[in-house]
Amino acid sequence: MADRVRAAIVGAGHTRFGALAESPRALLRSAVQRARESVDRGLSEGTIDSVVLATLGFGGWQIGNASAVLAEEARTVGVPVTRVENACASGGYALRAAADAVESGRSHLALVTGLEKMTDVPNARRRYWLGVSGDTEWERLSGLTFAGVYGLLASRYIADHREAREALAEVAVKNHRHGLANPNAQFRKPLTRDAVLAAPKVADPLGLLDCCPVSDGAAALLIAPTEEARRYTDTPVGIVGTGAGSDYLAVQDRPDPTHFAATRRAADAAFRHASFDRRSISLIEVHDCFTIAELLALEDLGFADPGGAVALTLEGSTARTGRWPVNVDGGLKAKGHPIGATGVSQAYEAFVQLRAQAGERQVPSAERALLHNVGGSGASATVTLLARG
Amino acid sequence: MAESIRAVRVWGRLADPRGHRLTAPDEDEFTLAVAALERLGDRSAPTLHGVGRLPEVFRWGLSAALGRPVGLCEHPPGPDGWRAALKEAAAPGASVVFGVDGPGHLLDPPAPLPNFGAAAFALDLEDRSATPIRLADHVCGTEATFDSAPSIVDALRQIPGSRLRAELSGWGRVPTTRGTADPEGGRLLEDRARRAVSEGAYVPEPRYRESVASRWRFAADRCPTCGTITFPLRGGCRGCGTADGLERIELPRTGGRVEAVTTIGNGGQPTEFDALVEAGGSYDVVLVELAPGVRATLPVADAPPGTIRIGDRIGTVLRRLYPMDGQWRYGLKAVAGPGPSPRASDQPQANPGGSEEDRRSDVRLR
Repeated sequence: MADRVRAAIVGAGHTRFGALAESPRALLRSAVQRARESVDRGLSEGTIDSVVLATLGFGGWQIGNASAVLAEEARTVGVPVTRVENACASGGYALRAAADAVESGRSHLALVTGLEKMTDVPNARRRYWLGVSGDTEWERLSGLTFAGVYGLLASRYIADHREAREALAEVAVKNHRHGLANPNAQFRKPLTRDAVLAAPKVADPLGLLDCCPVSDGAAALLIAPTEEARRYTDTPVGIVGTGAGSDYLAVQDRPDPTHFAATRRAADAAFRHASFDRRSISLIEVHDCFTIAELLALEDLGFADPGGAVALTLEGSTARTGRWPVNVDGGLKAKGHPIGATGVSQAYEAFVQLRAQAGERQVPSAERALLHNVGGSGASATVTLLARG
Repeated sequence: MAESIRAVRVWGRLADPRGHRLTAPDEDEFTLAVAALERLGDRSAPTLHGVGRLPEVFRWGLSAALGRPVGLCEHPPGPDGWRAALKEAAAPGASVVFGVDGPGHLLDPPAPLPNFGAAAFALDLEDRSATPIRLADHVCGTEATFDSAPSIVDALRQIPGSRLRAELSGWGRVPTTRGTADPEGGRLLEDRARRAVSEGAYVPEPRYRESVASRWRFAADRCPTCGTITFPLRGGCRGCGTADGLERIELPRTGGRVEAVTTIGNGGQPTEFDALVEAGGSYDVVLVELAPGVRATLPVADAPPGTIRIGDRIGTVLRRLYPMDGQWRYGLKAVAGPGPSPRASDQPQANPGGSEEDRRSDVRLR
């Protein structure tokens, strides 16, 4: 049975992630320019007819109407720009919104751009932006940031599953190893389990090296209807499933506070659209904002039973050469996590991998990819399935 | 029987004359007064007579903290305030008297009193004949509000024929409690608190005040239609959406079970907790099941970080959370063990300053 493909990615661009000197304008310009240049048959001016921007804080200087800045830098002034904000899942939701616009027939070439600029503001302000997406009315007044919420989840996970602490450390080690092969990654240095375990505790049991960094960066995608995709390239990447889900904002309000129902709902919805199941996935990008998040994601996405992500991780199944290559671009942990850009960046990686253009980090015969993007501590999530051709 | 007088004191000098902090850093005159008033038990006195410089939170927060509507009569600090309060307490109608010492407002400079600090003292006067007026005669002349309290208690003891039920354990001592004894940390905290305005994810004052019934007393709604317990309060049932006929309940404040715990430090805290971390170091936060399927995340008080474990039962105490917009914000925190944490002043201990009388008063008098 043929996949029911209605929208496809025909171009993708990515800036470096890290503590960058470039302004938000420069990052947007660069990501969009690279996406344009990636279109194999070229892109004439005026082709883009809809734009979606994913960002949380936009660097703190253009909180409102940041869409206009993107229109200027993307050279699409006059074209409608919709801004999407679902915390760290903004990028995944922006991709979904663009696919919806294309599938509805309203748009024939949609530009999706994710951006965050976080490192050039004072520490207190940066942590302000990092903290606005959790439950502010109760959780935050209890002294919790996302690190704290994920620390709670990790404590429970470690109490319930043997060798879980070692598996958490291995997530960081593995993703840093993957990041070595990604020229866009923020961290391109190896880590050892001992170093992860010995790092200062930020939200015990999570230490500093269990956390993704604060990052600047941008990424962009061009999305066309499938039947028009070959105007742009012979190797489009089909969007064959888009699922999304929501959950209670505060962990304490969820019937099961130890897992992410939004991820489960998003995955179920995405696979309902697709003609294949989890066994056909060759590449997984999960939202590893903290090491515990990667283990929970693998279980909520259906790749392991509760607790089963420990063995998958420790036996090397989630490494690039394993059965389920997870976060071969380094993940949020090593590649970096410019909030609004992350979901778009995951699609960039899949675009490059499924077109066999990933160089030394290429996953052999990558055919189908699953992208998993989470907002905050699980209040929103998207799962996107992409397939070659 | 109405003819009883009950005196309850919950310690708290925030600092001794040299500025050494004597209570936990998240206690203040409000949390101590609330603890004292709560220990009076369920007395339905509609009017509370407060003596001392009462911070703003007393004016809007006492009813919420006590879970019943109360009126507040304010009296100036010192002996005159006590006398006035005790006199008014003798008027018809049940009443309660309490006194605090403290700067009165976060933004005020520390009071220049020789024994600057804060303390809470509560009297529940059910015998409103002549007794309060006689008590007023025993108010000593010291400037500090709290320092009048011992002479009042002495008077209570000496009233012939009065039915005095007193919880006077530890009376007369200056306890050295758990918590920080670090004067620098205490000053740093106050200093930072004074300056901290609107850093961090901002919860506007009205939203915070809306939440205090749940945050201070675990108020929740039980739905008569679908049985769902909605906590914190949302103004409707989160199960079926109905806003009609919801039954207001209070979830148990003791006995909750710890499901998860984390120790926050090294920048893992929200920015508005920075001063607390600088002053007191790391702190724990727990996810607790308060009732079947009903949970809360709570900061932990009075326990060294890392000592509370998954599976432990906890109690709760009202404490300062963090400063915002020139005010402290308060909430229930978890303490080890199924009940309020034992206060240092309630525990039998060596008592260099106390008398034999003090020890005997550990026994309830009737």
